[in-house]
Amino acid sequence: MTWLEMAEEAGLSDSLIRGLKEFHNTYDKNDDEKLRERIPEPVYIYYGKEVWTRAAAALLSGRNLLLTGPKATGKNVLADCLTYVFGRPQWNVSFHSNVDAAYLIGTDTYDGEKVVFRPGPIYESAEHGGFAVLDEINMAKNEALAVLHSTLDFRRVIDVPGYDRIQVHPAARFIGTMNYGYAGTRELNEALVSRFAVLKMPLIRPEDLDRLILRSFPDINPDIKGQFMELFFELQKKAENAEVSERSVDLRGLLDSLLLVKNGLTTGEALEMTIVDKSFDPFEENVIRDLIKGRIPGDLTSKEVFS
Amino acid sequence: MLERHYSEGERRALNIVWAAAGNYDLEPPFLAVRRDQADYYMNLVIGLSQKWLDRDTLNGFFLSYQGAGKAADFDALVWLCLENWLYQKELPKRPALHTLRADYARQYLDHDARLSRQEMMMNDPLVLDLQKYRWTLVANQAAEDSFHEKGQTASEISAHKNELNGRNSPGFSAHKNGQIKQNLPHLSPHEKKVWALVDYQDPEASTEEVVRHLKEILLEGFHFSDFRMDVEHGFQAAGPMKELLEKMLHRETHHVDSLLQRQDLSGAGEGEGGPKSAGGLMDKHVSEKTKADQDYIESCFGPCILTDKERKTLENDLCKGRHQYCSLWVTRAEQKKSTAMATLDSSEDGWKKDDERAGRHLTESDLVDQQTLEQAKKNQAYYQKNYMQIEASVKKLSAELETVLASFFEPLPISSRAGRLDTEKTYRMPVLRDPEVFTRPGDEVENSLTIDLLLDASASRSPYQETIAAQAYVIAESLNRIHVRTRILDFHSLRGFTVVQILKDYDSPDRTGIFRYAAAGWNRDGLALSLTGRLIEERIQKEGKGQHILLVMTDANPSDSTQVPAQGKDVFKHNYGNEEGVSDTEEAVKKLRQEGLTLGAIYTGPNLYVKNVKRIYGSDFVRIQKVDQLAGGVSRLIQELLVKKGNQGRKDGRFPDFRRIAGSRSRQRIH
Repeated sequence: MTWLEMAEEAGLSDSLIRGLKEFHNTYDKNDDEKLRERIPEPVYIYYGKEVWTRAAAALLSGRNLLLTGPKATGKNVLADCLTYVFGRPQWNVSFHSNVDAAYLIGTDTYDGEKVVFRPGPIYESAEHGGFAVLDEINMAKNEALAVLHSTLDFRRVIDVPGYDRIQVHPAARFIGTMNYGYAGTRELNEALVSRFAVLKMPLIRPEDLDRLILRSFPDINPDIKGQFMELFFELQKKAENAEVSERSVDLRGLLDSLLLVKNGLTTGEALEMTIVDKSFDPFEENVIRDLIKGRIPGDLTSKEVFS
Repeated sequence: MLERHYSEGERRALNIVWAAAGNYDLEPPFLAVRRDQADYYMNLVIGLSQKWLDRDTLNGFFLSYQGAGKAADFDALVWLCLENWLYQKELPKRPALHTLRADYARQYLDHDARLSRQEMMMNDPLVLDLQKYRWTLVANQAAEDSFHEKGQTASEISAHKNELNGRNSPGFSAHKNGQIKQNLPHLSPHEKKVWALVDYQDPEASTEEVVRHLKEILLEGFHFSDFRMDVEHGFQAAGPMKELLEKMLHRETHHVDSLLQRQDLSGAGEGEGGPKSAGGLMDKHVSEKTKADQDYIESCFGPCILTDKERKTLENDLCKGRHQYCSLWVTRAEQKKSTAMATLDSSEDGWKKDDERAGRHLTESDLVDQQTLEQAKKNQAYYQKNYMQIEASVKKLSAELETVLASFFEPLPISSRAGRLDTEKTYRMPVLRDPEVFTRPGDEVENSLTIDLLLDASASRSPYQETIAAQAYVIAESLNRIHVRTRILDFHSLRGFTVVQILKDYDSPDRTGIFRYAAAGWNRDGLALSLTGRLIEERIQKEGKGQHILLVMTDANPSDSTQVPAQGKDVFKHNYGNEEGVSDTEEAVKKLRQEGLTLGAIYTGPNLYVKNVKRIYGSDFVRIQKVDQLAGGVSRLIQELLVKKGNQGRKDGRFPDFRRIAGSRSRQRIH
């Protein structure tokens, strides 16, 4: 699927698609082959016209994006799809509590003769006009993120003490993702949040989930598909009410289970592997099993699930 | 009020009900649990009833006959009817229901075949016959469906036949096409009439129509029509009456100046005037601290860990003004434990029988010991029973605290090939060609935080002792896992003594000491807080730098039998409670904060005292109503306290150091 086909499938308006074409015309020609290899080819498409429209408009306007929302709302899928549609190389930075300025911008290292600067992912994407995906940005300490302020705001510069001061490439964008209230996360400070356009990712809508499943499994039995969808939303509700952990609300797992059924497992076996066994708490496992039992008989095979 | 605690089976049943109802806030009127095993299908049906029918109307109906002698049989018949109605209603949306119902029918018939005559006689024959009729029908239908859908091989038919034979089934018949069907039980004309009603199949009916139909069933089946509408709608109280009732319902259960709790005192007879020990109501401890009181305290709690001189110095300093008639006692829980636990453990019957055999008269302190140890066992049992939930809370809280602390404490640097140049090692690059001359942040964090957790152990906490011990354990264990030094203390006041007991000391690896938490006596919060402040101060003096936080787990309702002496122009003494107690505690907290101690509260009390906790602790408190809230609440509180402490440090141009501020005074007074 080309970037244009994806943009059309996502339901972007003509004016946004025109903007994207212009973006490609301006920046594509400068990229070398090595950078092109960094453009991700998404496995899944994000479905949700409104979110697509907002995100594309913000990025075309030169804004950076902060995608917030609980698990299984497609934050990373959207980030990959946006990078693909904009045709930019991607640098993915996973944040954790020990992330510091050096990790993001770059560090000193010894090349065998002298101390040299080894650029970090933010520096690289700023230099080459890439899309930096700052995954779980709120896992890092606010002090560590302060170094990004001048990169993200109107100044668009990175000043590395003792080395260069570089201007951020005009095609470079920063997409943060965060799951608010997740164990191990913290509040982002206002200074950082104000440098992003914030997009609250809604839970996937039933019709979008329907499209997503149909896209991967066009031959699925409609009744079974409905029950898989109900199961997903029930799991989500259980996690919202803290009866199970968010680990079990796994859209990828649900799609994987269908793949496993297609390849010969029963629904019970497949769901056990892709959903139930992702929980490591025996009580939680039973609660999830109960939920599955109420929706999908465990002995269905490929013959019943797919027509 | 704290949330009701469910067993694992009940919790699982609740999850099935909630999921089926699509609502996680409801408290269902029924749960299908047998020997702590949740019955999947019936809980699903209960959940569906809450989904498809108006909850208030339906639950009102259940209440309307709960006083009837045969209410359990009514329930069985009502659910037999509801199950069918709900099945028809839900099936289009949940095709799996068909299989689940068939499974349930087979389980029922299997169980029914194994019922003894006595067990059968315990149930109403009408209910039993109709249930059997329903589930036989369902099982036969399922067998037929299965036969048509999949077809059965001769060996499967034979296996099924043998299985039914093996169960001593009431009988089966083989159809001409080879299907196995169980014979339907014979129904009497009356049963047939009731069956016609129970087999209700109007999926479009409103809740009112369904309830009306259910009443018809009870009328036809049991000639019951006495649906008590007053009960159905509950007793509605409003205005001053409501307030009065709320106060009565939330009334504190204060005890006499005895640690011994008597079963007959735990009910409505308790309260501000409820004490019944030695001198009853008039036994309020007013002034003189006698040797007998001290002996009593020592016998109940063990020896004071302070020397007489230290204790007197502290009393001179703290027991003045409002606390003029008070004394102090600091003890360790394990000091009492060693002998007492040994005795209790040596005999299944415990301490009492041992002593009775020895012909010794049991003193009150013996009984207190026995009671404390029994409570410790209950706390342990509660922990064992809720092990998984507690472990999950520990994991969550330690993960959250680790993140919080990582923001406040710098990670220790480790050698690396890239990062910040370590100038002391630069020579190694040209000389040894060693590239590891840089440092980067490592995984270890230098943690200088120490936390004291003070538990209110007054009698008003009695109904929640196991929960409080479990919550304290969660906090202590979580802090231990992230290497934060923690001390757990509890406090009581009785006979004029404010006793602070160390359940777990900073360096003690044994966190089971927390389970020796037992609630009894009163709570003179102001004095207990001041005393704890001094203990912390003393510890900081001995051990040097570090940040210290005091968390108080409280119901914010200070109250003590030892009165407050007349002050100023006032010629009357006052009770230490309500306004007097709250304002004293508020002042104590304010004073400790001025001295530099960071202090916050974990509030576990009822709505009634929320205003007190706000007044005493300002915004530095978190309210915990469910164990699930503990992780989020406590980590947030600690984070806020650390932020506040940090901001204060920046504002003052120095980081407040409790040791420095308190040190000089401490030297003057304690030493």
